[in-house]
Amino acid sequence: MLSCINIGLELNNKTVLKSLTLSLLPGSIYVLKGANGSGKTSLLQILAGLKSPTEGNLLWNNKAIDYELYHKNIVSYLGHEIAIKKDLSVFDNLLLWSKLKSSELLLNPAISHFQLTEMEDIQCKYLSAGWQKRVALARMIISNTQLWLLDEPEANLDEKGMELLLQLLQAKIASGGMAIIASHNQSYYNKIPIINVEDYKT
Amino acid sequence: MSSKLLSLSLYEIKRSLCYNMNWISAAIFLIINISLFPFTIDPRPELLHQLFLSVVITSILLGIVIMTNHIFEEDVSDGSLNQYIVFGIPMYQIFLAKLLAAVIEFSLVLSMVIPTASIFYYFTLSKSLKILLVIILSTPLFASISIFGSMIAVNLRKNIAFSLLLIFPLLISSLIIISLAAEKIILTDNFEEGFLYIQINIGMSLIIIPVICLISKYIYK
Repeated sequence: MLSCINIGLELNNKTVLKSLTLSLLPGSIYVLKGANGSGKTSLLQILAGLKSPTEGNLLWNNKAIDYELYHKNIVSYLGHEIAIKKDLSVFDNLLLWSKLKSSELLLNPAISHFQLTEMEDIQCKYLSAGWQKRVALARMIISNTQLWLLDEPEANLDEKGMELLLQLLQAKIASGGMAIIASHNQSYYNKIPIINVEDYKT
Repeated sequence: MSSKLLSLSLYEIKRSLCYNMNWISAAIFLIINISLFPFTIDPRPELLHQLFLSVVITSILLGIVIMTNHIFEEDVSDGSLNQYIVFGIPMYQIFLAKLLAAVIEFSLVLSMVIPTASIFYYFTLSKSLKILLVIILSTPLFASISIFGSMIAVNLRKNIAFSLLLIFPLLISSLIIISLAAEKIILTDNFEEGFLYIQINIGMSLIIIPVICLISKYIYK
């Protein structure tokens, strides 16, 4: 379980988040909603351990987070910048991450889930933004962690890509994992709890 | 831990040698630049040797600074640095991987530039190899200072000019040591004495690189 206790964030003397207290349970998906600049990305980055809150605490299973272990085994993050090296092939891009996580066995399942097999030797610069997004999403499978943090994962994806993402999310929660998704398009995520970030600004 | 460092290093080396190709542009630029000097002045070997010491070595080393100074920018802008952190890769491993790739890249550039330059500056083969060795052994220190500057710039969200100012005193002091070593080899043909300065340089690398690794723990938080 991931718990946010009174999380607050100020950036450039502006309150981005205030007194955010949430408990997020395993086997669930949560969607963060809010207008542009409302703090969805900042909250995801705090949850990923990429940004420190100005106040409050994060707990994992009711214990203060040890970020070394948290990053190694628990959390994965996909932001707006998708960390694809465009001069490398699809396979080489994913190979590095699989080696860094010692999860080489997940490399081929990740490639085949997002139907990247036929283009695994193609340099990413020749792929459309949607296919590059599929490569970045395949990295989430390779990361082999319990908690996925996704910042607008549907951006640039076509219908098929979205279908594959939703299948993946279903499999994730079925296996007891957890996903937190920042999105402007909640219609993709039926019957999923929605957290309105704008409720935590004052 | 070491297997991750190895994977990351091999990845950085592959990218810098096979895809980025910055080293080829740098080598061509330096070869053209250095080869043209002797044609513009009185081509007496003594004068050319002094010119090599003052202008050429400085140009080569400053070329290294320019090549490494942007080394973290791409990783920040495409989100890779965030991914490394979320994948649990410590900053010092990222630094070491980039340093190793940079040193190999520069050694390749120098291996092309110095022998070519030695033809135009009337150096014997053995002297040119000694100069090459001296400069290659100096690259870890020079590159580590420069990459550190890039890390600081990324951390403080400042531009590269700021980081250059920050690392300038360190760069100048290592440049002086390298020039002294090269002077002993080029002007007096005293390799042993020149190598003493390089030992100082290597000693400085052995202090500065672990210090940067320690500091990097607190960078990009």
